Amino acid sequence: MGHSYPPYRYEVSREKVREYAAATGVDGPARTAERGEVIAPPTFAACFTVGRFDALFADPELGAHWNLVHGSQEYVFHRPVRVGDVLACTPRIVDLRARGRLDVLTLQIDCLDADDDTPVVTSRGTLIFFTGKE
Amino acid sequence: MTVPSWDEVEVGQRIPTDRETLDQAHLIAYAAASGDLNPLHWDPDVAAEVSPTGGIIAHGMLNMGNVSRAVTRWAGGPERVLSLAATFKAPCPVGSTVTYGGEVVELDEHARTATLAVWAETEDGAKVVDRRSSRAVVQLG
Repeated sequence: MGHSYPPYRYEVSREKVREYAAATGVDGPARTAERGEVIAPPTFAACFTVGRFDALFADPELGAHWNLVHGSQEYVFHRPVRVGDVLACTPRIVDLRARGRLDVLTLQIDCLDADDDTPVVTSRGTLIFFTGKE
Repeated sequence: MTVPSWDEVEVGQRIPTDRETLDQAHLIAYAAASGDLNPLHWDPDVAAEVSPTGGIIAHGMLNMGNVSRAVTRWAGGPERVLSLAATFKAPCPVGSTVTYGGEVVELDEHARTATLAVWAETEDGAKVVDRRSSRAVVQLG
């Protein structure tokens, strides 16, 4: 428990934000009125959190498999995600419990600005694995 | 975009709803854009074996993205959305027409923020994002 995975880097590119925005039907990237920053839609965070859950699947000790559903997801935005950001993201298992035939895993990913280590997004998601066990 | 002002927002106020039909092409575009490649969302054989419905279901995160779209529009920009939480309660079969909504449930005068209960619901009433445990916090003007 509390197991951390090695941090990975994610660079926020304009084209990726555009692709994500098109797939979810939003305008993007957007420019903020006050500071003129070019920022991503809030749930663009999926691209560098849920889209990187494969780190879990590469861990033989965890034994994760694709027989799962996403139970819940939470994001706290410490500041907007900007085009050009380089994020350092550290996944950490904060809870893992068996509920009958299910294993419920809670994964937190702390995403920091790689330039100055200030927090950008905190992600917390639960994954429900069907174990087939009674 | 217009930012809702503290003076105008009240508990019980609803944001404009949004509605969308999530077909297979949509799910594939979302999988590619987000990197969420779980075959449950595009492979009928895998879905037949592992899906809670026995068929392909939409990504919870696609529904959360669409909830976020409705909230962002009301909030007046992505930078005004301070947090989002969604519980994916019921599975959302591919082809579902989903309604996205939100209602102000709490106001914080000190921080000038509104907490919204948010939801996504199919025409059959399946709570794919459950309003009881799904929230957005918005910075008001």
